[in-house]
Amino acid sequence: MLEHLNASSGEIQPDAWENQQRSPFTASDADDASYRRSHGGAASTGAYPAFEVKRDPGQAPARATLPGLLERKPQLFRRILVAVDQSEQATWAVDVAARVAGATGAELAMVHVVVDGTRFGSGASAGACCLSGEQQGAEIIRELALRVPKGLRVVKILRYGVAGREIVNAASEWGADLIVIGTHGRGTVSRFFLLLGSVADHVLRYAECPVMTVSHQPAPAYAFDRAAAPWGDQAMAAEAIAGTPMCS
Amino acid sequence: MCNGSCKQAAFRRILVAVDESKQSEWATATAGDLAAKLGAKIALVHAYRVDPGYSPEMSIPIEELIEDLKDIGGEILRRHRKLLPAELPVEQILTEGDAAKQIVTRSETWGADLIVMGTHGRGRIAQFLIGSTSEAVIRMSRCPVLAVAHEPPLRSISFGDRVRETANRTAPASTFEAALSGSR
Repeated sequence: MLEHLNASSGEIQPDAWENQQRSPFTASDADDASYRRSHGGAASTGAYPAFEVKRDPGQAPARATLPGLLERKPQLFRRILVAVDQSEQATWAVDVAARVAGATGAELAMVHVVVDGTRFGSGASAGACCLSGEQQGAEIIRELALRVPKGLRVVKILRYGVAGREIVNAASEWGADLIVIGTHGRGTVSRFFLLLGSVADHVLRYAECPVMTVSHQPAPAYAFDRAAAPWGDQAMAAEAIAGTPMCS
Repeated sequence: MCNGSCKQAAFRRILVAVDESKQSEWATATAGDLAAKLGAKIALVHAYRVDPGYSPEMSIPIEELIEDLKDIGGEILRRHRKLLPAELPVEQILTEGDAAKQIVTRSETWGADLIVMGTHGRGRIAQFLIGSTSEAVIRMSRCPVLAVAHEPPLRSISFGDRVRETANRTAPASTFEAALSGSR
C-alpha cells in the first residue's frame, strides 16, 4: 500500500488505485458529490491535508482520500450495544441486535445497569443490595447471551447507577455505533403515560450514535439467500413518484 | 469467522421516513448503507399536511397550497433518492396526513420490518423533545425503529478506531468552517 504514496510530497497518485476505489455507490460524479456532502465530505473538505489527492482539472474527480485506509463505501455498524434487563422486550432487542450484528459483521455487547442501592436504601443495606443486584445482572446477561448465535462474540458490560445515563456512557466508552434497546423495560414510564420508557427516552435523547428501539417481537428470521435478495427488482425502482401513493 | 447460523438477513424491507431536515438525510444515508449490506428494499415515505392553522381568507387557495406541498414533497423524495445507491430498489411514497400515523400505516401496508427516521438530538428547543413524530412512531409501530440523530461517521478500513476518531473530530470543525464561510 505504501508504495503508492509519494513520500516527498505526501501525495497519492490517483491512477495507481483509481480502479479499486470505484465502488458500486458511485453512479455518477453528481451522485458522488452529493453523497460526499451528505457524509461530511472529508474527501473534499480537506480533513486530511497531508493526503489530499492532487487533482487535474481535466480529469474526473478522484474517488477517495487514502487507498485502503479510508473508503467512501461505509463500514456500517461495527459495534452494536444492546441494553438488557429482565423484561421480555430485552430478549427481543437481543434477537434484533444479534441479527443485525450477524448480517453486518459487527461486534455485539450487552450492558446491564444495576440500580445503585445507595440511591434508594439506607447506607447499611447498600452493600447487600448491590451484591445481589450484581449477581442478578450477571445472570441476566448470561442467559441472554445464550440467545445469540454461536458465531458471535458478546462483550458483557455491567454498570452501576442510573440506567439511561449509564447506557449512554457505556456506549460511548465502548465506541458503539448503534444502541439497541426495548421501548419499555423495567424503568419507570416517563413523560406522563406516553408509553415510552424513561430509559429508552433518555437514551434516544442523549446517545451519541443511532438508536434502534424494539417494541414488539421481531418476525422470524429470514434465511439469507443472495438469489432471493431483491436486487433484480428493477420495475419497482423505475416507478416514478407522480404524486400518488404506490402501495395501497 | 461466522458459521452458518448468523447468515440471515436481518431486514428485508426498510422504510425511511423523510422530511426536509438534515437528520433525515443522515437517516437516508444510514438506511442506504444498511440496505446495500443486507440486500434489502427501501421505501422513502414523505407525508405532507396542510397546516391546521390554515385559513382561506389569509392566504392562497387550498388547492394551490396542496399542489405546492406535493411539489415540495416530490422534490424531497427525489433528493433523498439521490443519496441512495443507484442500483438499490427504492419505492417513493408521497402521502397526505399526520406524519407519524402515515408512517406507521405505510410501514404496515408495505410490510416494512424496519423504520429508519431522523430525529433531533438535544436541540435548543428540543431539550424535552425527541421530535414528536419520531416519538409517536416509536410508540405506535410494531417493527423496530432506528432513530438517527447523528451524521454517519467516516469509515476507516485498516486502522480501526484511531482513524475513525480522527475523522469524527475533524468533521465538525470543517462543517463549522463551512458554516462560517457560508454566512459571510
